[in-house]
Amino acid sequence: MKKMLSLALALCMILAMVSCGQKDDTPNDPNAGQPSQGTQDQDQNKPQKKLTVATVVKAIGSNWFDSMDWEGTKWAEENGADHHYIGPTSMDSAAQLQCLEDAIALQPDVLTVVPIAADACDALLAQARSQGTKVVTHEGTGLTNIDFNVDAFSNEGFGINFADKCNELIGADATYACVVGTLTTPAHMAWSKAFFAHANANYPNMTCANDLDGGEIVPLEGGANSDTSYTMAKQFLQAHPELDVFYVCSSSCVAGVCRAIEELGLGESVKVLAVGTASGQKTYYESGTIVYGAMWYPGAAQYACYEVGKRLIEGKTISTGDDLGFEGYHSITVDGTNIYGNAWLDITLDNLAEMCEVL
Amino acid sequence: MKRVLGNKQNRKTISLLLITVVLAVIIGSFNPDKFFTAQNFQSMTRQLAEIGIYALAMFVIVVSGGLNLSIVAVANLAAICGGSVMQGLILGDVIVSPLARLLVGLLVAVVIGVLSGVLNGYFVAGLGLTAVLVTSATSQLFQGLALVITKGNAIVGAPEAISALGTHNLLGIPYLLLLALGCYIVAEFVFEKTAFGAQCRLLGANATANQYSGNSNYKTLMKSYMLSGFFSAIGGIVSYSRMCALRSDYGNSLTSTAMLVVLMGGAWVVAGGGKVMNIFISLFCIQIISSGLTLSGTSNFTRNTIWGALLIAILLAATPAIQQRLSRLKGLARRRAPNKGNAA
Amino acid sequence: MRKRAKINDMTIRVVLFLLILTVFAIIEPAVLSATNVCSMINDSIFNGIAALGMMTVMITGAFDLSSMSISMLSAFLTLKFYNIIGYEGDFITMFLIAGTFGALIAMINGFISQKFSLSGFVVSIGTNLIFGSVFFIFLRSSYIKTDAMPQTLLKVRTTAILSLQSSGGTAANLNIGIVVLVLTAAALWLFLNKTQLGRGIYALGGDKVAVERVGYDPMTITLIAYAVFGACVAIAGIYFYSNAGTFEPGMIADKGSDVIASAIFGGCNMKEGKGSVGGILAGVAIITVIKSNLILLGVPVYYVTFTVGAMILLGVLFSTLSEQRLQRNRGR
Repeated sequence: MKKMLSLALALCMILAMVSCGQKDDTPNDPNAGQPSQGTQDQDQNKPQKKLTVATVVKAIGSNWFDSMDWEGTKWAEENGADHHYIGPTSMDSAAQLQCLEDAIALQPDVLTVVPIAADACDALLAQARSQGTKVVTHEGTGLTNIDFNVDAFSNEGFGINFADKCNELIGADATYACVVGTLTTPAHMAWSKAFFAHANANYPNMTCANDLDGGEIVPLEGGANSDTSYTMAKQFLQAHPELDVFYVCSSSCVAGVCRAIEELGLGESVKVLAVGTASGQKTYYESGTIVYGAMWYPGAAQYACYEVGKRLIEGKTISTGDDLGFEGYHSITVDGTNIYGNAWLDITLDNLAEMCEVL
Repeated sequence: MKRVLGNKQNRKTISLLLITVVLAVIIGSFNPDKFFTAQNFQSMTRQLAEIGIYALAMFVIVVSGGLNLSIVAVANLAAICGGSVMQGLILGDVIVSPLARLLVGLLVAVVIGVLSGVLNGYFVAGLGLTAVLVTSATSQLFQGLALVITKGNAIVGAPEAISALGTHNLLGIPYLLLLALGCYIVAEFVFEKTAFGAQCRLLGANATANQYSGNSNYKTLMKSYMLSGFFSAIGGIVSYSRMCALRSDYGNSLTSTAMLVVLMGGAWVVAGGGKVMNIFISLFCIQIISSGLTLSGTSNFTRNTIWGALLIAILLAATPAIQQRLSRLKGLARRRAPNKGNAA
Repeated sequence: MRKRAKINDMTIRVVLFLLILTVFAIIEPAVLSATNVCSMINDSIFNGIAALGMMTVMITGAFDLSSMSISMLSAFLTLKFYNIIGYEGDFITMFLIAGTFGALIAMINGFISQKFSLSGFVVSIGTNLIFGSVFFIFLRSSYIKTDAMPQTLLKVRTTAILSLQSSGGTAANLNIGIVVLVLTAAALWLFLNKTQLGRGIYALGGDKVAVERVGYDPMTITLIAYAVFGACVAIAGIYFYSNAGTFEPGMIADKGSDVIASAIFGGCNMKEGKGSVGGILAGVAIITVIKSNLILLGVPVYYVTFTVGAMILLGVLFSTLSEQRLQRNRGR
């Protein structure tokens, strides 16, 4: 046993020594990243030091987040930067945190994060900032240790829009139910709550079929795959025959809910307001089950995030009306640490083909 | 005799260590400026400390021939209950001083961990049900309970001591690594020096033989589930210290990573086998691959593939050792069981 | 004697299933409406096919955690294959091609574990990581849009073999997938009980040495058992992704635990090489009835996960206690 212990300790020490040996060099790295423009220009090569940028997404392997890689690469090529695209293979907060740790160890100049569990990332992001990294999140409203959070639009506005659309397309006396991916996804919950609040305030004849908990809406949970939402929706439709419309906040749940509606032969009477990719639900737009959808292009948000980070490094300020150089972010709104674009994409039957090309 | 076999064991440890060092050199050379830094060392060890403690919770059960799929759910539940006490959300009026809250919170977390171990143990050991089925059901039970408590929201914030545990270092070595090392030393002691450890191993190696040694089967299993629950709770606190937030759905992927680590440490190659220290080394191995590949700009798909390939390579390399390992177990079990040949 | 024991274990599961169903129906009569019955059957298809496959491996005394990776990978290869040859697909070749891919992939597991006498479970953890990742390393994107899916396959979603209009305004549609489940179950039952090879699979789980003495080649039998397993999970996988209408690698991952739970609940026992088609179907029925009714019953959303866990645990408790009592009675 003593041998084992000494072996293990030796292992630790080797690693520690390796790292301590390098310790003298490391502080240079973040320093080199920041004040290189002003103070140490002569030490650096004539062109500005190559930036390292990294983005940590919820999961790799889907078009939604891979588009952030495509546009991130594009930005990096335009700006001569080194782009890293990092993320777990399935959506899991612990796996994402590990990716985030590794990304921070890269000591990037700009770090973009799309957090699965926003609160869980906050402590780590503080470490990133303390080493001089500019942290720009996407879908990260409510985080404190960030420089900016870039969103395609305000969460509240997004939910309100859907309530308005519900009134317009379904009717002022619609009975609705909200579906989220999981009850622990902040953005989905924010949209549902905004929908609920706006409907209550402006459309008194609309009825919410969801559970209520102390006056707050408790949306249905659609889960991470279309099968769970399918099973859930079938039961809910039977329990609530009076339902007129589902507001589905999670892209991965839309197909399941639509399938349930069509299987129960309710395609005429129950409609869906959908969030998320057009290309995944094309058939349901065509069959008329989805009457309206909205999404944003995450790649554009990625481009904007990097642009914000670069400007911060250059010492510029970000203010309302700035142009971040990508469609939807030509004139941004700054609200505290939140940056909103006008990157809202409506999906209806008319522009379906076009939207399917986007994502 | 014991010495010779011990040396053989050492050989496995040494080869694992060699693999780890070679991997560190190779993978590190992809991006040496970022890999061989104090910062990366700290980042890596903080990550492996978390996985490592979950791996211990898994190992404790695996050694006796079972599988515990509820470790993460138990960890979350324990940390949520403990964290609520620390934050003063539960019993906030009764316990006022921050130190008392911290201590009571820790106690609550550990007690919940052990109690959930008792529940698992009762179903598996007491009623003789399949461990996989029981723990996957209790996993939903505990996660559901955590969801009921938190209503899907995160509990944000942590006492100073907890957040320091997750982020600070002692002489350049993260506290978390020291904590993990401590847990491993405890586990090493339990599984190499105590009768309980030997019983666990015998149970895993040959449960039928163990049945003849009276009703100790029940006690051994029950104890090992309680120990697993205990380590899960510690794992929950570690996760809490890293995030400074508590969520009911944190970290399902940790279960499979923990399994991978335990497997690499050799616990499944021989039923009832596996050295605690080998697991500790394979932690480094896995973490070096993970962090090194990320730093060198490859995706997690590559990482998973290499993890899997390395695992199978190690398994294949270790196959001939099975028979010797079994005979060593019998010696260690202190004549608890009749000396029957079980290597058919 | 053995046969009788099996029937009795089976009876316990059927009783448990009816018990849960009755309690649910008393709380909410709509549980037994035509719509909901069809709905429950549709929900059980994926689980059923995959659990039957899982059973085949468990009978040989192994346990495989890579089922969802095999499922995902073979669905991916099938869809890509259709893409490359530019064929819109049809139901029969879809299941056959996916099944072939699955069988081939799963046989890798069987080969490694048998050749090097490693536990199949251990091997599957390694191969699970590899199967789930290796093909996606070099792809720009592994996502397949609805447009790029073979269009005929998408019709799986709406093709029903039985359609009723029930009183509540909802339609009861029995999905075509049930045919696949029934055929798989029937074929597997015939294979396991009526053929030499099938008996060999049961024998392998009981006593490996005896198998050799009788003249079976353990390697052949292992490979065949894994091939059946792979084919089943792959068929379930292509069915899942056709229903989803798009392909994303991570989507299917969390379906695995239900499959394992159904298989074990259905009486599979790796230690003794036990397991039967009827048992699996009963196990799947119980898991489905628990998971597919709670919202209809009006359980608050926050409590659903908890209730599922608790009910499965109680169900396991019930069936085990009854089995133990049964055995004790028999012992007397």
